Amino acid sequence: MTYLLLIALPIALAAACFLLRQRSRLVLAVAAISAMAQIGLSHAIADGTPSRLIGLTMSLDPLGRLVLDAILIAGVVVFLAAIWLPHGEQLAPIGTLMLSLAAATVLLIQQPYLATLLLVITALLAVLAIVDLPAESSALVSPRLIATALKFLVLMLLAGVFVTISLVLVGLYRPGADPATSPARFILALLVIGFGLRLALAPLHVWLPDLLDDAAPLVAAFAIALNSALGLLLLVSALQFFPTLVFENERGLGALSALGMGSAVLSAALAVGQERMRRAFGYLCVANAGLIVFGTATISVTGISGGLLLALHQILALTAICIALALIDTADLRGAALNALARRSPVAAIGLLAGVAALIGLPPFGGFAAWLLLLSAAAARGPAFVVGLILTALLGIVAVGRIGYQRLLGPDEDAPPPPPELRIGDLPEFAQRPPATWREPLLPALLVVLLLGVSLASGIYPQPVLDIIARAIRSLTFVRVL
Amino acid sequence: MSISAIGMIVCASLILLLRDWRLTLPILALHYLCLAAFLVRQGLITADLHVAGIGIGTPIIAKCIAGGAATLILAVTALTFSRDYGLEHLDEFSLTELRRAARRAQQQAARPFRPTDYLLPAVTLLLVALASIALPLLYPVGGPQVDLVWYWLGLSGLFTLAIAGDLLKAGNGLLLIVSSADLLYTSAASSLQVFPLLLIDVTTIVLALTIAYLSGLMYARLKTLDLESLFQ
Repeated sequence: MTYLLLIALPIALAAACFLLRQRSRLVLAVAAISAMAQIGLSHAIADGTPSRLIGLTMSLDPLGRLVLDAILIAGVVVFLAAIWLPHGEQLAPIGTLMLSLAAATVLLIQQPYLATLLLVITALLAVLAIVDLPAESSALVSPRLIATALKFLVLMLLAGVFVTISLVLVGLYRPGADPATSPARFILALLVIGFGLRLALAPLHVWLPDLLDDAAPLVAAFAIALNSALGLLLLVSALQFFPTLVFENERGLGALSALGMGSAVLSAALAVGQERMRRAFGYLCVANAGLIVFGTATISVTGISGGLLLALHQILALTAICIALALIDTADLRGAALNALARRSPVAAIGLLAGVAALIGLPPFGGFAAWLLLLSAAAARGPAFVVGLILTALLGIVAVGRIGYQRLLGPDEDAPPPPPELRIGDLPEFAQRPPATWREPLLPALLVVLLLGVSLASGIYPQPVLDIIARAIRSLTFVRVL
Repeated sequence: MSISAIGMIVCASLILLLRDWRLTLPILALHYLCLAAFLVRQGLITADLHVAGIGIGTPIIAKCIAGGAATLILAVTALTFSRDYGLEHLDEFSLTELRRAARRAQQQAARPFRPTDYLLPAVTLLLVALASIALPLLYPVGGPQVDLVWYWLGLSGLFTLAIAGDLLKAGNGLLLIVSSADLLYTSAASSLQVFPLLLIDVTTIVLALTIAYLSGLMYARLKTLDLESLFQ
């Protein structure tokens, strides 16, 4: 019953939210309560107690619970922040439906075909959220945003198809074949393309910087958090349920590690070259995706723990950054120097700086522990990986420093003003505040502080989080065997 | 080779070659019928219904319904573009922009027919044919006939997507790709389950709906479905 409720309750509430969508604040509160109820329900399910429902076996293992908690918490935060920040008309119903599908994906992760298809449908729903405008809006969706949504749609669908094909091939493949003719490498290559697209591994990353640059910040945070966390879970599960991919594929996994690290270095270098702040953040996320794949491909407890911890911290940091960006949009402080930003919207300014520091794993934020674990895994792999990791960190710091330098100095007064960009916060529905009297809304500001506080606390004392992750990793068969 | 397999190959090739949605959408519907006929002939899904003396499995009926629904959704979308809607809610700025987009769209539509427009699709069709014959030899999966068809559908979809000039054609390409994965799973999966089959059908319908929604947004903004104007 609990399993069914975890999936069906948000669907019912999404329908209610859709019917009441004109009452924006009410439905967002309902959506947040629905996500909180899902957290409660997921914790009512005991570890390793599978349930059979309409012919499907559902279960929740420690790793799935961790990922589901992270996604649901991100959902609660996004819904609560959206009560006071610009958002589209359908955010609550679509978001709640996506959380229902996310729960179904986690519960059905032992059936990878189903999980893959559920992820594709989740991505298709995310497209609707990306192009969403407020109720009775007098504006039209910008061509850039439509292009971004289309790109996201195509790439996510291709990711799903590639993973489905590789899973069919894995099912047909019989282990023990001659390694020279084994199709394991071909299957792994298909999986890499599928997961590379989903997790935004360079050079398959194009959707992520575009999404962060063009979509409403809250939608971008939600879509990226959901995609990266569920994508990582599915990747680990594919290795778990098809161990032949691991055991007969040492060279393939070595190549995957190298690809992950190469992607991280390349993306961090691209982040340095970005003129637009949001795109630079996008490339830093792509760099993190490379490191997550690197950690997973090492098939070691430290590597997978590092990758998982980094993925969880990215969700925290990115959500904080996106709320800060939404605050900046609302206050119409885009392009403002940081000192002006700090005066008018202090939490947004601090949230942005601290969030970016957390995103690139600067101490004392929680991401630093993940970087240390990945460093340990890289050292076990060879000096080239250590150099790659350090280079990624340095390039990330340079990228952030460059953005900070530009924003601290502010725009050149003699330079022509940049062309105006229409964002969701520019719409008349959200443009009713007089600039002089505008104050930061309390709840989003508190949420930014809370997210960064959690990141800080887990950075200063990471042991409880590491214990949870270690317990989740130990449940993976292929890690135990190796 | 069965007639249904040949039908699927021909339909996918025509979708790749042709540009007009008035032709490609009926062909897409025909493709789904051929897919259903192919699966009935393969006998992989247990027949639990009898229609006109032919045993058909419920999942195949579901596939026909999903394919028909997807085609219908895209057809209704294409027909809707012949009229303006929601203009009374737009402000002056949006209306001005809309008039400019309409002028641009008119200029593009007035372009004369050129046979060279079909050169690239013809070359890609040749590539699809070569790859679909070569790949089953390199990576055989589910038997010669199934392999040829699923590779052909997948590659046709991929190339349709790559050369698509408008959003509806890109949607056709995506639907072909989903169809290819569907055929592969149904014909070659080690253990066939009903839920993945049904979820693929749901994916087909949701994909068509999403394409329709994006088409509506794009047409409202640019008065055209040409992808070129979207990326300008």
